[in-house]
Amino acid sequence: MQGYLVRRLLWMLFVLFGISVITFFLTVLLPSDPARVIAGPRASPEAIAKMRESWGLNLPVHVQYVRYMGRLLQGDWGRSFYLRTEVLPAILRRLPATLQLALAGALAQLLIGVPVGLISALKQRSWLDRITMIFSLLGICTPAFVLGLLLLYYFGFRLPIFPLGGYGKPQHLVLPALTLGLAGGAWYARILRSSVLEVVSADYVRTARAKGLHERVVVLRHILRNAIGPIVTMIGSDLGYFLGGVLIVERVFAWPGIGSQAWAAIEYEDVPMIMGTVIFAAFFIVIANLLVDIAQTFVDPRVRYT
Amino acid sequence: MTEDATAPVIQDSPVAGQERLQDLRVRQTLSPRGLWRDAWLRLRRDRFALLGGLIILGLVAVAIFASWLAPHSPTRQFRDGLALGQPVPPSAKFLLGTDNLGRDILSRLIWGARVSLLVGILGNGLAVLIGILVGTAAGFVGGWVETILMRSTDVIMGFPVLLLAVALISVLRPGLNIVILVIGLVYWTYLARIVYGYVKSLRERDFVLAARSIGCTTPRILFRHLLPHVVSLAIVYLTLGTASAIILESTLSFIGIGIQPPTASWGNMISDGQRYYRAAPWLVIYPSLALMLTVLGFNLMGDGLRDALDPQQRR
Repeated sequence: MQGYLVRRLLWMLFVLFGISVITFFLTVLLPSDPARVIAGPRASPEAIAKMRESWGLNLPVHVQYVRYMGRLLQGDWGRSFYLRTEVLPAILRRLPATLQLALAGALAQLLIGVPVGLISALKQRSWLDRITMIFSLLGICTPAFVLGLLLLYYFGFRLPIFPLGGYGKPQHLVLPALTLGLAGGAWYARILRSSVLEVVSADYVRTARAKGLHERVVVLRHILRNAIGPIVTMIGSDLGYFLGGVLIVERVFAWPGIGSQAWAAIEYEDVPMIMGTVIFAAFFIVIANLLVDIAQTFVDPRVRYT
Repeated sequence: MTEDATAPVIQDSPVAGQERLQDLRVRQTLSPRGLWRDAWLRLRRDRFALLGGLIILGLVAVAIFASWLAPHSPTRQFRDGLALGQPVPPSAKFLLGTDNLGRDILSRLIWGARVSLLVGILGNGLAVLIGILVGTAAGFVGGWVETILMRSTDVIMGFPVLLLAVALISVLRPGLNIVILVIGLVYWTYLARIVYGYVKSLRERDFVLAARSIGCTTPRILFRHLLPHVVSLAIVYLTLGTASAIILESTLSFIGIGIQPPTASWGNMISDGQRYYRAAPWLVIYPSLALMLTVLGFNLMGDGLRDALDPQQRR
């Protein structure tokens, strides 16, 4: 297990390195000149040249990358062209809001997906199964921004139960979390349903029933525990994905997280901020994948790494 | 997958004499109809898949005949398309109303179908092509080719898909061709991994050894014996992946970096419409419905194809 962990960590570092190389070279290829963007549209050529020099934009590409990497490791992620502040503190300042939404969204996915998937598998071919599967299919077919706008229209405007966006009170969290929960929960329900169907006819389930265990114990301890593996993987990588900023949902609900900040960065072609957000997001995804693999050994003792 | 999944594919391809003998033996013990016929029979019984196919056919027809079907020009701003500067609700002239610039929504929806299908099908087609090339090369060649290709795949999978697409587009400038290219560049990794694992396991199987022992060349083994197995995977992904590609295109257009105005895309229609949703909810609702219906069609068809082409999963 220890050897595995070490190799996994080294591998993680390699992936992060690859990601930083790709994002850096992408930004070097940018056709718009960052110096011109920082200096403003009416700046003189001398001012632009000076700006280019002070930002190190006149150096060779590989030197720029090494300098960039060095600064990255020291926590200096550059200055945002548009906010004119440091990138990393700006991202970290937005993290609490994104964390809140990510946790609420992941929880909503589980609370919607797991019961629906479990019940529709246990009642396979019943009308309940058919209806929930049709709804989960619709959930999969609905892009997040469509779902968000529809929820906003019906439950924020037509029936003004929830605020139209914003941040701070618990009721602000309901619609954005529900958007993530419905979209992800639909996937979870479908996947859990098929993995439950694989185990319900297993011998140990029959044995558990035969020895007179309470149905609830059979379902929760024998069926669900054996079928939950794929969901553990998904919730882990989803959480990692959400922590990098939920671009669309944050924007639709004016949620002041990393995602809305990235949206603004896209509009202003704020390269350091886009790059910082991408690396930040990738970091969480890679970490989450590592944690998921470790968590699997606890959830499912059959999974062993050497 | 086991023998019964693979054997019928071999039957359909012209094979060397010795293999023909082996095929005949396999044929006697297994399904007498062959994979494609079997799959077709299963697909024909799948009502949901047929519904999906019907939706796709309808959309393709709408996309092809857009210029005949659309009642108006999708970009013309009608003088009577605005009332007090506001979008006009559905009426006899504008069946689904107009947008905030006085353009006919129905015509824009119809032309938007062409954009969505074009970008979705071509973008995903590119992704499937890259995925199969990378996966097959890594799985079949092995060695350092395998290491480099699959490690790069892992690195790209470490990116959040949407942010990677955003970063690529901000480098390449938005536009129809660029969106297609970017969808291809961000979506291939998943299929590459599946194809890689599949080809790698097939390579070790006895029928490859048998082919090699009777003197088949490497390209022959690759194209005649291994790639036919990947075809059914490719067909499923060409369908299911199109659904995700259409969602990605609409999301990018919603952000404002996908299909650029005045060209109509369902994503940029929703993006424009959301500012007027209180007064004119149809600006958001109709393109949303079109988008959902399209994605539903491809998902239903893809699920059906997967069930039909996977003989392991007999119901």
